[in-house]
Amino acid sequence: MTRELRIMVADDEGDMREFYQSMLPLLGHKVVAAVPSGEELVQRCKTLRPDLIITDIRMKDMDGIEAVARICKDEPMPVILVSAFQDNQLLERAQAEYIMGYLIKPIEQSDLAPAITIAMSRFEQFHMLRKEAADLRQALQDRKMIERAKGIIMKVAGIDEQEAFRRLQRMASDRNRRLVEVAEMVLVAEEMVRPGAER
Amino acid sequence: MRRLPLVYVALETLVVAGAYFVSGLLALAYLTVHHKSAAAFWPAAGIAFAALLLRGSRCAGGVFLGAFFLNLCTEGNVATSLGIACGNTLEAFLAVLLCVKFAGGARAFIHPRGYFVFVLLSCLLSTVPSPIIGVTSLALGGYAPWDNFWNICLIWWLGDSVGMMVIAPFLVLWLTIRWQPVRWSALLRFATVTTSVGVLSWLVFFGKLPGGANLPAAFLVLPLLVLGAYRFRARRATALIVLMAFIAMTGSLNALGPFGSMSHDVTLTLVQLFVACTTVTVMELAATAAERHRAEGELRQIHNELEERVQERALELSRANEALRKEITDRRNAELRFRSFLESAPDAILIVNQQGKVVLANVQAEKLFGFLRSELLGRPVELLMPERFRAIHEEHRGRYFTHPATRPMGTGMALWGLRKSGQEFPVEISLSPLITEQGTLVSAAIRDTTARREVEEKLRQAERLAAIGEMITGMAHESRNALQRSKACLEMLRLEVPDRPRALDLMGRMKKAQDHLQHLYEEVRQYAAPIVLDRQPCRLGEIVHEAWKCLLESGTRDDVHLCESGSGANLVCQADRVSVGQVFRNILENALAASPEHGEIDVCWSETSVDSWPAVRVAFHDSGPGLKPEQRERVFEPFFTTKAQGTGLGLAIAKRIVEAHGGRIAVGSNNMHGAEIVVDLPRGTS
Repeated sequence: MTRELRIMVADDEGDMREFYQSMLPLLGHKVVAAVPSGEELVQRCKTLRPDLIITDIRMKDMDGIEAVARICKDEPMPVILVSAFQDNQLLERAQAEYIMGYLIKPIEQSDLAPAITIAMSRFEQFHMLRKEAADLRQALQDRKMIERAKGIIMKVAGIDEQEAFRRLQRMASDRNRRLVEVAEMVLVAEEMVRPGAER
Repeated sequence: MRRLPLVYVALETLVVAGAYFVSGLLALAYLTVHHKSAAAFWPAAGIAFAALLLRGSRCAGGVFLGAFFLNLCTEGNVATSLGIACGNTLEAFLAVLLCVKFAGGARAFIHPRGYFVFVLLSCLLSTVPSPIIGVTSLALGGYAPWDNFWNICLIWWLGDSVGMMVIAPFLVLWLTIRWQPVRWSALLRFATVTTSVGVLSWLVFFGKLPGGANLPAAFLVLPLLVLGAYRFRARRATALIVLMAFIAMTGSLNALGPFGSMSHDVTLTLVQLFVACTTVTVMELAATAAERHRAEGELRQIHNELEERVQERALELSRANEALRKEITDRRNAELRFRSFLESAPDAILIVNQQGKVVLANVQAEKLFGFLRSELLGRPVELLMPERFRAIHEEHRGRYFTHPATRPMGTGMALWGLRKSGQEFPVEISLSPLITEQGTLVSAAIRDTTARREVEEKLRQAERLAAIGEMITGMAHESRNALQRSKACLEMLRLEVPDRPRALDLMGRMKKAQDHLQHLYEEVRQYAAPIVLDRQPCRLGEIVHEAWKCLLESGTRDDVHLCESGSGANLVCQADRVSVGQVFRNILENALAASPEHGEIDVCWSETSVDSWPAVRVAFHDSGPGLKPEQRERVFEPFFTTKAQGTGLGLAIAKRIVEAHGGRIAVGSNNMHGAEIVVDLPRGTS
C-alpha cells in the first residue's frame, strides 16, 4: 500500500548511514543520498528534491534542525528527527510545522516503518490543508471583487443586483473569460472614469 | 688691676704706720722685759697682720715705716732700726702668706682647724725670724748684750706671738663686720656678759678676791669667756679676750692679782702665757661653736628644704593617689562593662592564662559545656576537649602565646569540645589575645557547630548527588549513541545471515541484552535527572487507571485483577501528571511482578494530611509473598531489587518524585499477605 519514497538521510555516524541504507530499501524505499553533515544535506536537497528527510540533530557543522529549516523555507518537505537528546530546548526548536516525527535513539528497523508512514500521511494532510486554505483564500478574494463590480454596474446602469450579476455572467461567457476577470475589468474601468481620479 | 689714687695709698700707709707706731710705743713703755726693745706683748704684730690680710701687701710700706720710726725713737740707730723694721715686715708677710695659704685667710678665725693652723703657722712659726733679725741688729749695733741674746729673742717672740694671737683676730673680725639691724636683746646680752667679764677680770687681776693672789684664781675668768665664746662666737669673743687681757696686764703690772706677786719679768711672761692659753682655748671654742652654728644653720636649711620637698612629695602623692583612685574606679567600671559584654555575647567565651588555666567564663560557656563556673575557674582548659587532643593542644597553646594574634583556632582542622557529660560536639573557636597586668591572656569564643555541620553535611551530600546526577545524565545520553550503533550493526548483521538459525538466536539474545541495558540507562537517567514538576489539577484515580492500562498494554501479564476501595480517588490534586503516572506505574509494575497467578492488587483510597496539609493517601497491596523485614528497610534504596529483571530504581524514582511533591511514600503496615506501599500526596492549593 505504501508507495516508494525517495528518502534522504543525514547522520554523522557512518554506522547509522549504513543502517539507513540497508533498512530503508527493505521497507520499500530508496535512499537517494546519505550525508554526514548539515551543509551537505542542504546542498544535496536542492538538486535531489527527496520525498522525505531523516536527519540526526547533532552533527559537526550544522545541526539537523537548522539545516531542515533552511531547506523547508521555500518548499516544505516532511522531516523526521532522530536524536539521542530530548531536552526541552531541542523539543521547543522542533516545533516547526514540517517536522513530522521525533525518534529517540536507539531506534530499530521496526521503529522506522510506522514513523515514516505516519510522517507521510500527516504531511499529506498538512499539504492538503494548506492547499485547501489557499483555495479558500482565493475564492474569498474573487468573491469580494465580483461583489464590488456588481455594485458599480448597479449604480451606473441603475439595475438591481440579480440583473447586474446576470450581465457579468453573460459578458464572461461571451468573451470566454472567467467571471472574476470580467469583474476586475469593470473595477479598472470604473477607477479610470471616477471623478477626481487624475492626480 | 685698678690703680688706687696715690693719696689714698699714702693715707693708708700713714694710718697703718701711725697705728703701728702708737701701739708699739705704748707696748715698749710698759711691757718691756730684759731689753728696752723687747715687749712681752706686741699688739703691733696683730695690727700689721690685719693690715696686710685685709688691705694687701701695699700696706707693708706702712708697717715698715711704723716699725722704723718706732725703733729710731726708742733705742738704736738707723741701721738697727732698718734691720728691725725689715724683720717685722717680713714677719707680717710670712704670717699672712701662711694664713692665706693654709688656714683660709680671714675665714681661719671661724673654723676650728683654720684657727689652729693660724696659731701654729702664723703666730708661732712666722714670728721666729723677726726676733732673731731684730736682736741680731741690736746686738750688732751694740745696743744689746750678746750673752742675753736668746732670752731677749724669746721674749720678743712671745710678745709677737701673743700680740698676733690676740689682736689680729680682733681687728680682722671687727673690721670686716657687716652691719646689721641692731637686735636689742642680743646687744643687751652682750653688754651684760662684757660687763661681767670686765668686773670679774678686775676682781681677779686687781686682787679683790679673798686669797685671790693664788695662781688658780686666774682661771675664774675662764667660764665666763667660754660662755661668751659659746654664746656670741668669734667676733665678740675676741672683744672679751682683749678686754680680759688688758685688765690682766694692767692688774699684773700694778703687782696685783695672781701674777702680781712675782718679779716684773716673770709676771709679764706668765700673764702672756695665761693670755695665750686662754685665747687659744676660747677662740678654738668660739670657732667650733661658730662652725656648729653654721652646721646647725645648714642642717636647718637642709631640714627646711627637706621639709619642703616632703611637702611637695606629699602633695604629689596625694594627687597621684587621687588619679589612682579615679583609675581604679574607671577600671572597675570598665570591668563591669566588660563582664556584662561577656555575659551578653552570643558565644561561649573563656579567658585563659599562659598556664592554660581558665580565669573567666561566661554563662554561655557554662551552658555549652555543662560545667558550673566554679568548676571551670582555675582548671586547665584542656578539661573541655576530648582526651586525644589534650597533649597537642598544650603545645599549640604555648606556641600561640609566642605569636598572639586574633585568628580562628586550628584553621582547617575539625575541633571538638567535650561536655561534662562526656559528650563530644563539633566547635568553632576564634582566639584573640588580651594584654593585661597579669600578662597576656587569650580569649576564646566558642561556637557549637553541630547544627550547622548537619546542614552542611546535607548540603554537601545534595551537591554530590547533583554532581553525580549530572554526570549520569550526560553518560546516559552519550550511551544512547553507542547503543544505537550497536543495535544498528546487529540489525544489519541479521540481514547477512538469514539462513543461520543458531546465529539468529544468538543475535536475539544479544538484542535482549541491549534492550535491558537501554532500560537500565533510561531508569538511571530518570533517577538522576533533576525533577522539574509541571503541577496541574488532576485526579489521582485517573492517573492510576492510565498507568494500569499502559502496563497491561505492554503485555507482560493479563491475569491479575485490580480492585479499588475507599474514597478520595476523585479528589483533585495539584500534581505533575506524567511523573505521578511514573510513580504509580513503577509501584504497579512491582506489584504485578510479585502477584501470583490470577492474583489481585488492592488500591485503597483515603484522605489524610501531610505536615497538617490535606492530602490523599493511596495504598497498593499485592497478594504476593510480601517483604521480609530487611527488605522493608531497603526497598527505596537505589539498585535494590527483589526481581530477577529489575533495575532496582523503580521505587527509588517513585520516592524522589513523591518527595518532590512534598508527599511521603512508605512500606505499609498491612504486611500479612503481600507487600503494601503507601503514598501520601498533598492536595496543594486548589
